[in-house]
Amino acid sequence: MAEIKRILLAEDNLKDVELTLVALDEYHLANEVVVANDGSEALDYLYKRGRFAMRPVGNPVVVLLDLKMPKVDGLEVLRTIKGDHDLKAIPVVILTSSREEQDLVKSYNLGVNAYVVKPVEFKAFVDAVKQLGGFWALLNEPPPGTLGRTKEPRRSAVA
Amino acid sequence: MTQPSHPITLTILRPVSVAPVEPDRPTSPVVITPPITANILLVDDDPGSLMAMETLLAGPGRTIVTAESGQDALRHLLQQDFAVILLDVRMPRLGGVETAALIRGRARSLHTPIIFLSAADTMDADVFRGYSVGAVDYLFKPFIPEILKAKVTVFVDLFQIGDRVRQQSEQLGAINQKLDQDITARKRAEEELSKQTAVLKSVLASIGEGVVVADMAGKFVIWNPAAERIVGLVPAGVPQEQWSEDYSVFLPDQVTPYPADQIPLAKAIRGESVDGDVQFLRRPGIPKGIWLSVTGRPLRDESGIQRGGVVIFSDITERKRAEEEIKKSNTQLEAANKELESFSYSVSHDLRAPLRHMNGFADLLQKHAASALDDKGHRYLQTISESAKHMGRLIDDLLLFSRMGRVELRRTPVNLNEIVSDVLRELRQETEGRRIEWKLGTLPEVRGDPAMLRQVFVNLIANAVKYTRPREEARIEVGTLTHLPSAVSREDVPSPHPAPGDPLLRPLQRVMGEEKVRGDDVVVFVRDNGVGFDMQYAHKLFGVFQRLHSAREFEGTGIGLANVQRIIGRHGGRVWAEGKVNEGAAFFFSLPKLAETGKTRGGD
Repeated sequence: MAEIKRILLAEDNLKDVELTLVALDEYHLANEVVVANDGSEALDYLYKRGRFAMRPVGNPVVVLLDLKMPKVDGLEVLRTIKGDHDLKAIPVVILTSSREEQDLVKSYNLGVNAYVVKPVEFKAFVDAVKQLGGFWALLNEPPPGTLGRTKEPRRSAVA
Repeated sequence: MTQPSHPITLTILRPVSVAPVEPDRPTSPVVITPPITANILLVDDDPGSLMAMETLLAGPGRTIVTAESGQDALRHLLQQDFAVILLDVRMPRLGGVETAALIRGRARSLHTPIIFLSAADTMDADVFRGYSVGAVDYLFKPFIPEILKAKVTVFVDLFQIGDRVRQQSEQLGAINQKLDQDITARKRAEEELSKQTAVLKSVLASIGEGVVVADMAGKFVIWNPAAERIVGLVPAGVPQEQWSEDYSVFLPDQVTPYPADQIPLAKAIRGESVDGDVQFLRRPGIPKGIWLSVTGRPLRDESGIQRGGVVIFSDITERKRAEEEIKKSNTQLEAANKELESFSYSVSHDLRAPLRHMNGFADLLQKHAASALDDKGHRYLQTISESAKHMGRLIDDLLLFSRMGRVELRRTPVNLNEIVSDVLRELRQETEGRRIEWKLGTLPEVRGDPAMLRQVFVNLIANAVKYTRPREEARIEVGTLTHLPSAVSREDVPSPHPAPGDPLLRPLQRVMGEEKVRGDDVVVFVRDNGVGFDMQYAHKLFGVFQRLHSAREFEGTGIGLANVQRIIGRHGGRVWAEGKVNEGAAFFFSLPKLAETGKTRGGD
């Protein structure tokens, strides 16, 4: 089966990746996640370059973006997405440890769709990620040009 | 240094305020008037003789008056003066000699020349008598007309010349008097001038600013002691174009020689004004250099004519150095601030991640290995989770504390009552299931940062809720000492009413005594009947990480009250507390009143 992923998770910390996947799996969304280990990989995925050159056509339903990443940081990725005619419709959610005002302000100025601070407490973290995944991947109607679903229909996923 | 060392001579220009005496002020010129009419009196009892003489002597500039007797002649003399009198000696009744004597007897005609006319046979004795009464000449009848005319003309001329001399001497007298007055005025002006000069000299000698005056040619006229002290040189007679070089003047960049034509004194001489020009002086004698602030003005006399230029300058090296110092420490401060910001950013971002992982994986482990773990194992995992959580709270609180010190204060009018009810709603989770009697007084409106003041109430009220947990019925009171709540139970919570000797007023009075609370400050308190604290440790309450209770008794990070103090401090207020073990605690803070906040306490 051709690999079709719908959620792009840009996160350099593997532990965070694992915890995020655990949380998303509560809605059985873990398999729909493609992980980019830094900002430049995230852009590679979006522009179908590098190791993502062969991926199917279509935009992810949502990008979960960490701010502090090597090479290209989250704000840079956000700026690129929102500045690109073909990408700017993709919903982008900043998922970060930082609750610094400057980051919030910069993100919203660049047109971020949501800004979520990762809670230290695991249960709260799971809740937050679950809600995010549930909303953007299941509830929200994605813009045209978004990759289709690969798995079960929406109803069974929510159940 | 190649400065020729002239002795300082303090030449003072004539002060502008003293009017110089004009020596060539136009005075009345000597007026040459046409000769006045000369009256000639002819006295003879013979009308024929009179007529003949009158005909002979008449001419321009002459008025002939005739008299046929001595008495007649005297009458004429009463009315006018005469240049010459021709007097017949032999007349009936009053003879010529007697008439002459009478004429001479009057002061007015004492010097009027009299020519006697007499017959040729006049005795020498008579002639002598005539001369003795004042005759100037004798003419014997019959006259030779030319002689008569010539003699009379001599006297008429004499009269007219005499008159002119008199006029001129009158004019001369007037001129002399004027001159005398002028000399007195000049003397007075000179005295005034020297008095003012002395004052000016002592003023110039005593002021701290350097004063240098040059005339239109650029020659130094004044170079006061301060100028010598500041510049370290005495004036040299170098031309203006060399001032910049000669006195080693540089632009504020400290290396570019000051453009010679831009030197303030040179500009002043050109009629331009210079204000607060900053220049730098450095030469082997002053290797570190000095900074000057120079002001220059053209010098004009009272008639507006420019006479030179003046510069006034002061040594601003110290000020300049202080400014540099401030600039440097500002830069350092900015760098430190930036560093702090990036530090707290890192803390915010990087320190939280491992905690999240500890917590997350401990939780996962608990789920994953639930059956494999015994009670101890579960408890260990629990401890790991809780520790991570606590660390997370510490980081959050510290970051908040740091932010409260860094962020800009946004002052607006703040309704403290709204904040309190808002905070109570927020704390509902903690107060649920508790029996708490709230006494909320009316709080005044103040001016401050709403978000920060909210944080103050969050911390104080959450503390009150927390430390009253052991009480079956908690009492928490929020109020102000300027608007006192009316009915307050005195059982557990002492009344804030200012009763004499009320122990709860002591801290307030103490603080007021130290003038930390001004009479018109607003004082707000949060009081509870909780576990209280020992006043012995009151000073530790507001320190970071300082706690008077163990985490086992009461959870907490020890940052809340430090934050309260920081916020109130930034608002220009004070914080203090009063408590008693097992009886309760009261926390007070003061804030400047609405009307004056922001005006009297400007910055943050």
